[in-house]
Amino acid sequence: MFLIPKSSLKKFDPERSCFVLNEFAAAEFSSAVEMLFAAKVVSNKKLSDGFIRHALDEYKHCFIFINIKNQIISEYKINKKELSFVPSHIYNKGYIYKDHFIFEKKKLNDFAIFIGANEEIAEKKLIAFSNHLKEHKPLAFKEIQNILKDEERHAEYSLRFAKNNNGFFSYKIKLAREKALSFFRHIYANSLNKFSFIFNPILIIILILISFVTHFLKLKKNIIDDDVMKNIEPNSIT
Amino acid sequence: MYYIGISAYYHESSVFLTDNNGTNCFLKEESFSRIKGDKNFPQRCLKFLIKKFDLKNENIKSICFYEKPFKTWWEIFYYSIKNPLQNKDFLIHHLKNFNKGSIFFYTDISKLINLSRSKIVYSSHHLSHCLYGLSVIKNVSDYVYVTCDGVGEGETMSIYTIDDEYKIKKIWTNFYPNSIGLLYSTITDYLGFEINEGEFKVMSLSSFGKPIYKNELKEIFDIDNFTINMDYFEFHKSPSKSFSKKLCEVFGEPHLNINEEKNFNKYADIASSAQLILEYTMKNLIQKAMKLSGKTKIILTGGVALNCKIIHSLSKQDIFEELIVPPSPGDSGSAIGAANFAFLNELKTKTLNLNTLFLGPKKNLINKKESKDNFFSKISLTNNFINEAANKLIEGKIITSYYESNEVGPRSLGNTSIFCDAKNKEAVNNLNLNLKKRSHFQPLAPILLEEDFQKYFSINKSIVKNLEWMGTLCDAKEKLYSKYSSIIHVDGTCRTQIVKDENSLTYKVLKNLKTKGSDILVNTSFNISKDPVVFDLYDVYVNMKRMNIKFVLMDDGLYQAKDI
Repeated sequence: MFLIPKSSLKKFDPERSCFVLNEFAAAEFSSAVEMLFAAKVVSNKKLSDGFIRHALDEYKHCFIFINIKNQIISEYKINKKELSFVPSHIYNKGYIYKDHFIFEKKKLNDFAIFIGANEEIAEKKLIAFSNHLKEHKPLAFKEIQNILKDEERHAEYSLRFAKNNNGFFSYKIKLAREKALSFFRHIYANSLNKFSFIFNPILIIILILISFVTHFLKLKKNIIDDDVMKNIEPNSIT
Repeated sequence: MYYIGISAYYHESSVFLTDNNGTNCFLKEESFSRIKGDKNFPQRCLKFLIKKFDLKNENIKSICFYEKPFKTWWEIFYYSIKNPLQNKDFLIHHLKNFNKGSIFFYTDISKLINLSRSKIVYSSHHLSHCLYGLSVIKNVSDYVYVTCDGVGEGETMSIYTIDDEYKIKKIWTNFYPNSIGLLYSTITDYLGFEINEGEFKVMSLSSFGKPIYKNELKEIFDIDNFTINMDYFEFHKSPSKSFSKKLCEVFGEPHLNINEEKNFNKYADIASSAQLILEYTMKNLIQKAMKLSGKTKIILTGGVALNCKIIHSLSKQDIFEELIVPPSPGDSGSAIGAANFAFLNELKTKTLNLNTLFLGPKKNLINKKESKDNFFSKISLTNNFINEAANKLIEGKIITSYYESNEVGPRSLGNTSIFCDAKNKEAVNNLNLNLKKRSHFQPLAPILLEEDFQKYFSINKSIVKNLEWMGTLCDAKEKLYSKYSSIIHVDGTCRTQIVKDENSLTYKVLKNLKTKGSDILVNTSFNISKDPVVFDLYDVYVNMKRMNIKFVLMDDGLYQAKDI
C-alpha cells in the first residue's frame, strides 16, 4: 500500500471505522493495480515476479479490509450505501491517475522510493487505526497485524532496492521529497470540499444566468427522421 | 485502411478496429487498467492498437465516436436548468464535468494520433446501438430496430427501420426523463446496489419475490405512454442520489442489509415488481415498434436489453416472430456500431461484414511468447490435452480457459472462462460463492453442445438465436433437475449458452466430456467479482493465484500455474 487514507479516529466509531476500512481497501486495490502494471512492463524477470507477489498481497489485503468492514456493517446494522467498495471510485478518490500508471512516469529507482516512502507512511496510519479496533474487534486487529508485517516487508524491499541503486544523499533527498509530496497530496485531498465552498456560489450565479437565457430558447425535438444518414452531420458534435 | 469506433466517458469504454477484411479487434479500457467499468477515454486501448497495427493518419480511414458529445451533455443539462436553484447540486456537478467529458474527444485523441480532423466523425447514441444490431443478422430490412436505455443524447427509447439500400428511418423516439432504464437503475440504487453494475443483481433477486408493488410502480411509470412521475426521483437534482423521499414513503427505508431474511424478502418483492413493470413496458414498446413498422422481427439494443429475463418472459407471450439481442447491447458494444456508422457514412450502401462473436484480439496478439513459460508448466504430456482437461473436470476440478479470440460483451462465452462440471454440486457452489465471491442469489450459467440442448431445456423458437451468447434465459426440463440441479435458478430458468462451432476448443471439451458421462459445464467469466475479465497472461496468473485455481486450458495444452 502506498497511498494514505484518512484515518484519524479518537474513539471506536463503527461507521467511521467502516469508512476508513473502505479507504484502506481502495488504497490496497490501487496499489495492486499499479504493481500488476509494473510487473507487465519491467524487463527484469526477478523484479517482475516481485511486483506480482506484491500485487497478490495487496489484493489479499483489500479483501481482508472489505471483510472486516462487512462484519462491522452487519454487526452494527449500518445501512449506508456509500460504504460499499466500488473499484472505479478509486479514480475519483485520487488513488490512481486516469491517464497513466505511476510506473510509466517514474524511473525504476524513483518508483522504489515512492513505494517505500508511502508504504512506511501508510503503515503508521494503519498501526494507529488498528489500535482503535483492538478492543472491539480483536480478530480484525490480529488480521491487520499480519497485513502490517507484509507492508513492513514491502517497504523494506523497496527502500533496500532504492538504497542500493542511488547514492546516499540522492536517496535521502528523494525519500524526504516523496514523504513531503505524500503529505501535501493528503492535504489537497482533504481540502477539495473547501474549494467547492469558495467556487460553488460563483457557479450558482452562472447557472442562474444560463437559466435566464435558456428560458427563451425554443428547442425542437424530432420524434421521427425519414433519412437518418442524410440528416446527420458526421463531423459535428451537436 | 482501418475504421475505428469508440465508446467512452459514460459506461465502460471500448474501442473497435476493423478493416472489414477479417482483421477485427474489440478492446475494453478495463482490460488494461484492471478497473471494472472503466469509463475514461480509452487511451490504453488505443496505445495498444497503435502499436499492434501501426496506426497513423495514412492507414486510418475514419474514427467514429459513438454519440454527439455536446448534445449528450446539453440535453440533461437543459432539463435541469429549468429549475436552477432546486437542481443546483446536479447542475454544478454537470458544469464542473464539462471539460472531463466527451466534448474534448478530439483533444484526447489528438494526444495519441496525429489525425486530420475530417477523419473524426460522430454518430448518434441510439443510432450506434441500432447499427451494432446489424452485426448479428443478414437481411437487414426484415427487422425493426428497438433501442431502450437510461438516456443517450436526451433519448430514452427509439425505433428504427432500415431498407435494403441502407436507408435508415427513425420512426419514433421517447425523451428524457421518461426512461424505464432510469427507473430500473433507481430501484437498483434504492436496493443498495451500484448503478450500471447492480442491475444484474436486481434481475436475479426478482425471481425470489412476488410483484406486490406493481400498482405502486405503475403510478411512478406509465407503461402505456412511457412517461415517468419525477416526484419519485432525484437524478435530475443530485449527482449522487437517484430517488426522492417520496419513493421511500412507498417502499420504506433504502439500503437495508440484504443478508437479513426480512430485508431480503422485502427487497426481492420490490425487485420482482420492478422487473414486471419493465416487462410490461418492453412489451408495449415492442408492440408499438411492430405496429409502426409492420415488421415482426425485432433487434433489441441498449442497456435495458442486457436484462435477459425480459427476453425470456416476452417470448412466452408470442407477440413477435423473432427477437434478437446482440451480445453486447449496452454502450460498450456501441463502439462496433460507431465503426459501422463510419463505414456506412463512407460507402453509403454497405455495412461491416462481421462473421464472428469473438471480435476481440487473439491471445497471441496480446501476449509475449515467453510469458507462458514464466508462469505455467505444461501438464498434458500427450497431444490429447482436451481429454486430460475433461478428466480433470469429471474429477471435480475447476479449470480456467484462455484460448482463441476474446469475446465481445459482458459474458464470457468459453474463451476466457472458468469451467466446472455442472453435475458436481460442491464444485459449483465453491466456484460461485468462494472463488467468484458472487451473491448467493445469483446462479451460475450452463454451457452445452447445441445437439444436447433439447434434452434438458425448452425455449420459444423466437429467441433461440440468443442462446449462442447467453443472451436469454430458458426453462429447465425435468431431466435437468435430476442431474444438474445446482445450475437452476429458483424460478426454474437457466442462462444457458449453446456451442455450435465444431472447431472451437470449447466444443471439443464438451464433446469429450460427453463421452465421460456429463453433458453440461458451468461457464462463468474468468474474473473475481468486481474485477474485469482477464486479458493477458499476467492477469491469468494473478487471478488463478487469487482464486487458488491450478489449471488453465490454452490453445496448445493444459497448463498448471507455477509458484514464482
